[in-house]
Amino acid sequence: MNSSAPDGAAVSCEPRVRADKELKMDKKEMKGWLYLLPAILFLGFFMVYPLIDVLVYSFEEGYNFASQTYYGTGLYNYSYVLHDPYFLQALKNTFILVIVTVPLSTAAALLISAGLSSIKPLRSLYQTIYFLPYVTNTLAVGLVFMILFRRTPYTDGFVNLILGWFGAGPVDFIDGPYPAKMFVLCLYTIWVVMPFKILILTSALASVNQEYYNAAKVDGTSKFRIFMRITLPMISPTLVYLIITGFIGAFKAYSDAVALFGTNLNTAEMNTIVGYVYDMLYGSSGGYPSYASAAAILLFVIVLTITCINLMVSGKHVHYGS
Amino acid sequence: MKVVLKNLTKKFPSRRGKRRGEVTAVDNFSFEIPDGKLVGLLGPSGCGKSTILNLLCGLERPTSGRIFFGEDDVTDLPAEKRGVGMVFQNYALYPHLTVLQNILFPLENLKGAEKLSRAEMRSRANEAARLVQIDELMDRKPGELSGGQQQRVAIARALVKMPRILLMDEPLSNLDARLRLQTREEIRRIQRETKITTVFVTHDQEEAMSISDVIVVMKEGVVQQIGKPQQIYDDPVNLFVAKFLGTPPINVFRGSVKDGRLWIGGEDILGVSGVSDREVYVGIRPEGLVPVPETQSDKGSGGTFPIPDGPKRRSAGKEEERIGLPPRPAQGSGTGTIPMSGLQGTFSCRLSGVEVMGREISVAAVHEASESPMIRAVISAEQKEDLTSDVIRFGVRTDKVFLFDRETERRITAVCRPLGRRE
Repeated sequence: MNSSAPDGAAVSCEPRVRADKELKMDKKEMKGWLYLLPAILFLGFFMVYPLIDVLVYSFEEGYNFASQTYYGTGLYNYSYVLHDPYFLQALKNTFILVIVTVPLSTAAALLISAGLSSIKPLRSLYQTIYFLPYVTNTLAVGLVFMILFRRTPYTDGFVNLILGWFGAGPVDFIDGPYPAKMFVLCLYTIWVVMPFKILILTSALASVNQEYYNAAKVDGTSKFRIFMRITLPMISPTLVYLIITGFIGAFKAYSDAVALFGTNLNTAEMNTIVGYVYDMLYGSSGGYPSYASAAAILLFVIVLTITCINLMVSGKHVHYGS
Repeated sequence: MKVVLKNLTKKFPSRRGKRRGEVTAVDNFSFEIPDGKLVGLLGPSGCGKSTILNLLCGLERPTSGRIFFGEDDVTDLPAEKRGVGMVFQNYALYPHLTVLQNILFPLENLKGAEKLSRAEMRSRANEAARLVQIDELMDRKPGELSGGQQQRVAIARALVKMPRILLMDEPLSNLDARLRLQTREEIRRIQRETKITTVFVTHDQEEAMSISDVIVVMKEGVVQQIGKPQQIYDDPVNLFVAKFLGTPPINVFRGSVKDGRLWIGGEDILGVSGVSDREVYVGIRPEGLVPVPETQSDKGSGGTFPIPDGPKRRSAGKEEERIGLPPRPAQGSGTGTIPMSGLQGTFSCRLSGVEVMGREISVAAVHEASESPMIRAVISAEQKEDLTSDVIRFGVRTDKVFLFDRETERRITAVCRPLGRRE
């Protein structure tokens, strides 16, 4: 493009202005990075580096911690893990746990918090009671569950006592058949994760403007419809948050199983993926870090996929403020 | 639909931890709202006007008293069965639903015989939207609308189910001044078109005056006065009502009635009859104070005026001097621009400022007997007055003067007349 002469002067001074601006921007940006530096360093050292390291381990066959050696690289670790019956058992357990506990605990928490916010007297007392499991130690709770469910030579346990009243035979929930054990594990998990959800949901419910309810009431809306059409959409961001964190939490379950069935989870058929990783890492004769890494990466991929699906589905239905 | 409120009382229980006992929000409120009228409940915040609205729509139950819609006693009917439309102060539009879904919402609640088909609902919603002129916005979410548009959606949502009565809680308080004026007219038009009995609550007397057929002035849960806007303005029953209506507010002075004359400060400004000698509050509307040209009043008076702190004047307390005051600017001989008939009395104040408002001029002045630090007079801007001297003298229009008992603050019925005529 040819520009006429008089314009030339005006154009020539522009670059300098732009350069000044860029310099300023640079300074600002530098400051921003400086502020972020501590967090980036920590995250880099303790999250990004290990993650990459695990990825690397997972491709190195037969890695040995002590000698820092490995035979070769390839996908053998993944193939081994995916064919390991213990891993498949852990995978199955984890998926059952996730599919059962996340919807049930969220739904139950929603019902309880809806109930809590509709009563006035003693509300804070109930809130405290429902929150207690959250501040109780997992292992202590596991002990209580053991006492409730375990059959010993001396007693059938409290739950079996009650089952006996209804004519149902004693079931060994801890060392007995697989469905019984799975039932206890799910119940335990739901019981442990619910308080936090109740806490979050009651505050979400309390933050819904009362005027919406009044408007709906004046318009003759039934209670059920108010809940479905107003309450649920209003607290949907909180619900999504709870469901996503619930999924992630359930996929990472380990201590719950240990609390109920002890550390030898493989023989109890109650292992989880994290449990499998742990066993591989610290198992007999120095462990198998390569297999552990491969399993860990597989878990990471599963959680990432599920979370992405969650976000995509919820993106269409969630209302984030106005 | 005629709405009758009979001896309505609402008491709220005392809250634990607070010293105050139960609060009476509405005290023995009786009122009949005529069919198809627009009624404004007016009062300062906390006077119980919103409580009355909540009692009408069923969100609150009265402690005692009955509510009738037409012939039906609805006192014990829950909100969802009353068939009222309500426009909430913050509109309460459901933010996750579109405008159309918001308007459809009340219709989707209808059950049994009232149940509508999808197409009927749609056409009713469109009709309501057209009435408030938002038919272009049906697919938007409330968050994408301006305050005025949201307000219209709220009205459409309240109207769509063809309510027996329409209630509005401070419908204009969230709008800016210009929009408020426009929406005010809009509400009036919609109410006229639909002929739905409408009750709205406001603390803004101008709003209430401008669109209501009937105003109910309330204070602390008690009805002060019910009537047409102009009638209440011209004939307030007590000092509170007089003060609450009118901008700028009425000027209130401590005065007294003595020997058939009304005294404010050291001056007798009017003759009164029908009242025994007593201490009173004197309310004078801003338009009732008409500045009188200095020179003219000076002529006949011999130049002595009892003006407190007034420069160039010595305080003259002697009555004789003032009785002789007069040729009160009066009787047609005025400036030619003010109709002086009906004006009488000379009332002197210290001028403190003049505000030009375009159409009119607001004159601010100070008087020692005034209840407020500043008194105001409003005069037409066309009137060329000399408003430069530091003392200003007003003629007083007798129909703009109200007397109130000093103790009870109730209106005293008295006939005021210009002093001159008596002499």
